[in-house]
Amino acid sequence: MSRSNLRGFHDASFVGRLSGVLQSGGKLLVQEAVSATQDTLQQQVLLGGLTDIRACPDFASLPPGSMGQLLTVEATRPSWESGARSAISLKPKAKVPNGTANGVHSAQSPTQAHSNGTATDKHKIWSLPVSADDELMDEDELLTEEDRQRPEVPSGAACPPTKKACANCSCGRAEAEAAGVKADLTPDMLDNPQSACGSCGLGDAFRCSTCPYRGLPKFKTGEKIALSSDFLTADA
Amino acid sequence: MGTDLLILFGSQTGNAQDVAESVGRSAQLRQLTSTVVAMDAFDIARLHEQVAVIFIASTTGQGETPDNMKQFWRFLLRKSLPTDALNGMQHAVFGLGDSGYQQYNTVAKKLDRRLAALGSAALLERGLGDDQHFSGYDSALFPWLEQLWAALQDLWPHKDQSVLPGSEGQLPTCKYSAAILNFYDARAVLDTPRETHEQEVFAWTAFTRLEAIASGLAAPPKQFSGCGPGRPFMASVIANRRITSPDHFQDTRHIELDLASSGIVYEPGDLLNILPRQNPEAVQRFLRRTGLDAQSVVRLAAAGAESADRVRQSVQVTVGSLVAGALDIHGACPKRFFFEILAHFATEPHETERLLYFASSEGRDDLSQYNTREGRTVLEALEDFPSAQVPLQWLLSIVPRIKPRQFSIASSLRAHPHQAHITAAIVDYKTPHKRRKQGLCTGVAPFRAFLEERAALQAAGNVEIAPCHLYFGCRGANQDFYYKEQWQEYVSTGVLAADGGLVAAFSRQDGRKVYVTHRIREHAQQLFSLLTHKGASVYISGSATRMPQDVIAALEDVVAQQGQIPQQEAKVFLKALQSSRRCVIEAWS
Repeated sequence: MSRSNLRGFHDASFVGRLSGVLQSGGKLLVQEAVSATQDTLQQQVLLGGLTDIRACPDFASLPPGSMGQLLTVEATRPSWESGARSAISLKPKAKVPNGTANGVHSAQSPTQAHSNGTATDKHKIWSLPVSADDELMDEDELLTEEDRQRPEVPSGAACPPTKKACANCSCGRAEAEAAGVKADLTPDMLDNPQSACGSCGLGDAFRCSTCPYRGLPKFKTGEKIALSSDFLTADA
Repeated sequence: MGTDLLILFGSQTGNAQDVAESVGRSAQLRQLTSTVVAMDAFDIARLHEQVAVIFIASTTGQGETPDNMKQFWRFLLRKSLPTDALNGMQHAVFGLGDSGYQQYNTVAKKLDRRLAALGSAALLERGLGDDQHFSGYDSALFPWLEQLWAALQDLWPHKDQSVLPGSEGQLPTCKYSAAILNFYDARAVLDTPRETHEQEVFAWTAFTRLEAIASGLAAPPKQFSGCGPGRPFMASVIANRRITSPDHFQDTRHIELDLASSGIVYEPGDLLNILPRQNPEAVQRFLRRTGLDAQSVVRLAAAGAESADRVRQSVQVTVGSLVAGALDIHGACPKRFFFEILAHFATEPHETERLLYFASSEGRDDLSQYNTREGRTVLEALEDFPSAQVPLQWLLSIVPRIKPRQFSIASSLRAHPHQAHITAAIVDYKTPHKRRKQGLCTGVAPFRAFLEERAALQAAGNVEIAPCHLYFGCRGANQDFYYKEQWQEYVSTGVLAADGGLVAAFSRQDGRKVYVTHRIREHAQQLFSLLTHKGASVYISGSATRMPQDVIAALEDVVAQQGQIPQQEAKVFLKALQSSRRCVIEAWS
């Protein structure tokens, strides 16, 4: 018997380990706190390889006034081993799409199971609803070694971008920009802002990446720049 | 299908959706018709009929698939699907991810591989957009799109896919229609007794539904009474206490909310979505800038909907409550599409020229510097391009909708019935150009919820609780060691183990820098025993992309050293813990 108050404690791989210590045909009782809206415990027990699963309503529940319930599930370790085979008779019309029977994990690949299918039979798979019997592949198996690599953080990540220079920049800031240097903002420039290219006053949208006025509001040439209350003065 | 291309997206925050929609528009410029829809909203039974399908999928921090493609992805993973299930289909995958995270673009990579394994032919190599690039995912997207159009031209050599002259300058179709109601029709809305905040929340709720309908997302669930996703509850604030010391630079609040009769229930580890309220001054500025009349009432609908549908799904609200409640005008950054559309409405040549440049491939780095790197808001951008007068239906299309802020819940319902507590640190920071911004983040919250739950179960008496071990990294014991007294109480009651149950790491105390990873190494023997003999689970919660990785690395060292096994085997062990969910990471940036 295995009991837990943590929802989700009994996941398929854990149940698989538990079933490993059972004898063939042995029974396992699993108790777990589940919430009213999400009960995947039975599914996890199934995915862990046990069969004859049934919920037992008559076992203990959590103290009154608490959230959720304690669900008890009884299951059996099957009497066959994994990899076991049994003959399936294939009727010409009724195709069993998932190629398994009695919950045995089939060793066949999906293609083998379908090599006899007609075109319409093949497409029927898309319309069938997903049932609890439908196994999903492990998606991590899809990734190759190369896929698992991460790129180096690109060297250009932190660098300023290449910038289309102001069309008629004549103030020397173009050279400073080319040298990667940001011209300094002085208190004079706040009192009497000037712009040779004419773009600085239009706002950040039109400024060069090294414009000393970057971050400041728009201004008219010669008019003191007003800083709004939610703005910190730029460092000198 | 009826259209040339099927464009399917899996989007969590809306970015992949934006990319999908822009691919659809670009396709239209090239005379290709397309359908753009979320993966889960598409009837997968028809996938095998498609000839050309484009997938845009983002990967969240921990490698998870976005919510609106989870079902689709599950279906594709069925072992029963044969290797020729998608013969006859061609696909193209573009992923949005962040190489700062371990699981870089794994969703797109797996999708690309699985489609090929099912017999679909790749039109071109998958494209991987990376947030770490200067201009974000645009950097990879533009070149990938060029290749895509070339590949489609090869696929259909007889189909004319040239861009018709003049078509690029045309305004695309707007998703929405907006009509200002006359006095009589407006009365029904204006006479509804609702105070301002409620009106704003109502506008948000209604617009959220409308946006889903207009965007080809899965149809929103029927309108139940009561609260849930997309149906907010007006909660009262019971407490709002500062829990950092007054001399500490950070202002962290412990906030308690009354859930009253909302019917909202949660479990430890759940997140609470809180809808923020906008600064009324910003709203006024926006209304002045756009010339909108706050008192007027507008009827909104999804454009192109059938007329009976339109009436049923239309929304009627005051313009003021729509702007204040639903449109994020002074917070989130606009997308490239915003600048594209603004270019249509600007009348000053230098503005139009600049906007077109920002929207182009050549201008993407400069756009990034102006926009995302500076945290530019819609309001600021509109004020920077004052000649653009944008009609209301277009504002709805290009202004980001207000998104709720997520907080890990810091309480347990067992300990505090009908309440939800959150821990929020108000962060002041400067943008690269020294503009001041504020933000919020949370830390130890989910663990308080978890431990409160366990304490309550223990107190109720029927259940045995295994003691936990809490490792808490912060700056100083008297500065930001949140809930310190509560943890100490748990040590004395056994919720936290007596030995090693509460381990703190102070990074700015007494001139020493101690981190959680140091503490982990100090307690190697105990941790090893817990992980290997006691079947312990590990939960890691940290900000920045490095902290959780550093903790994993420290645990690997512990296992390798104590277990006397090679590092590689220790790595495998930690990976197995993660895949069997005995090691769970929550990281945010």
